[in-house]
Amino acid sequence: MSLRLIPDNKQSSQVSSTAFGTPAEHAPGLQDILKTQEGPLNIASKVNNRHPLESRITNWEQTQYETRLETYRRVFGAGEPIRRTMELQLIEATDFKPSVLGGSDTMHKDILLNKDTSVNWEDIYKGEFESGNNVKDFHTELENKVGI
Amino acid sequence: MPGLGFDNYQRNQFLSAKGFGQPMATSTGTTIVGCKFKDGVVIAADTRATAGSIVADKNCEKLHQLAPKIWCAGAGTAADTEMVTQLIASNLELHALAQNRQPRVITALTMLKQHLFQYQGHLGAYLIVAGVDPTGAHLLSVQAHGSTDIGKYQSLGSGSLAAMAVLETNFKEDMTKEEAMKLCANAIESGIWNDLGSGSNVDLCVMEVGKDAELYRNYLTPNVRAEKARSYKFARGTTAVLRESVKNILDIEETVINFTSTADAMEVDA
Repeated sequence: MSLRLIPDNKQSSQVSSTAFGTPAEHAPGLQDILKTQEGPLNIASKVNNRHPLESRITNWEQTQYETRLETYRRVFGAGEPIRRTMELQLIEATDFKPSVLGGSDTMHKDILLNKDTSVNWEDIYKGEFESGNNVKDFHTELENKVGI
Repeated sequence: MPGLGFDNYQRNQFLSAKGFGQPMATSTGTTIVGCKFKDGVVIAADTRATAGSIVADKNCEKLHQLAPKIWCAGAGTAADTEMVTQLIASNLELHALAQNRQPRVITALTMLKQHLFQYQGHLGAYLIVAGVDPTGAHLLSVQAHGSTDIGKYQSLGSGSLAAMAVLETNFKEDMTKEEAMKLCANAIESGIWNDLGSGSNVDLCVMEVGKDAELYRNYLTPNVRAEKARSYKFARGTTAVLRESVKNILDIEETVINFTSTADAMEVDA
C-alpha cells in the first residue's frame, strides 16, 4: 500500500545466506556453486560498500509500478491492480526462451507496461549472455519453469 | 545487471585505496549560452573538451540534436551529455511518432529531468535545451540533479559567469536574429578568452518559428593556429644509408604450366 516515488533506502540488518543465489538441492543453506559456476559467495561484498545509487536504480521500476497500481486501486477499485498483475503473470507463464539465447521477446510485456514507445539503458545494455554476464543455464531455467 | 551497471564500483574503490587513481572523465569545461529573440531562439557553445588540465578535443561538438527543431547544448561530463542526449532524442522521436505530433521542447525537458533525477546527479549533464514547436519558441535549462529553469537568456558551464556578464549587459527584448547571433557569439567568446575550461571555436544554432533549424558549426574561429615560420621537412639524402640487408620471408619457386595443348582440352560433351 505504498505511494512511493523513490525506492526505499533500506539497508537490512540481517540477511539470509541464500538471499543472493538460488540454494543448492544438496546443500540448502548455500548457493549452488556447480550450477552458477561462480564459486562460493562473499555475502559481505554483496551487502557492504555498494554504490549509493545501486539499490535506487534496481528498485526504481518496481517502485513506480507499485505506486501506479496503488493509484489505480484507489481510483478504479481493487479489481484493477489484480487484473493488471494477472495479465503480466499470464505472459510470464506462457513465454519461454532461454537466457543463453537472449531471453524471451519483450513485446507483450512492453505493451502492458507502456514501454513500447520508449527506450532505456536496459534495452541497450541488456546484461545478457552476449555481453559477458553469467546467465542461468538452459537446464536450470527450464527446471524452474516447469517446476521440477 | 541490465542497464548502467555498478559491477566495478567495489573494484574501483579498492584500486583508489591502493593508490591507482581513477581515470579522468573527459569533461567539457565549457561555456554554453542560449538567448531568445523575436520569434525564435539561439544557442551557442565553445568547442574545447578537457581531461583534467589537458585539452582532449580542440573542436568537439557540444550542440546536440534532440529533434529536427529542438537542439541542446551540453556542459559537464562529455560522455554523460552525449549519451543522455541521444537516449532522450530516441525517446522523443518514438513519442512523436506514437502521438502523431511534432515533439515539444517541454517534453524533451521533462524526459531529461526525470531521467537525471533518477540518477541523483551522478550523470553529470548540465544542458541548455531550446527549440521551436507548435506552441512557440522555448529556452530552458536542466541541471545534473534534475532541476530546471526557464529564461530569456541562460548560460551554463565553467565560463558561464563570463558569458552571463556579456548577456546581462547587452540583452534586450525582441532582438532580431542577427543581433541575437552576435550577442551569443560575443558571450561565448568572452568565455573562450576568460575561462581556461573553454576555448577554440564558437558553434551556433538558430531555431526560428516557421523555419528549419540552422546549425553554424565553427561560426567563429578566433583560435586558428599560426602558420609555422619555416618548413621543417628534411630533404631526401639528409641521412646517408650505411648498410642494407634484405631477408626473404618466403622462398619463391616458379614453375610454368602450359594450358594451350589440345590434348588436355576440357571434355564438354560426354
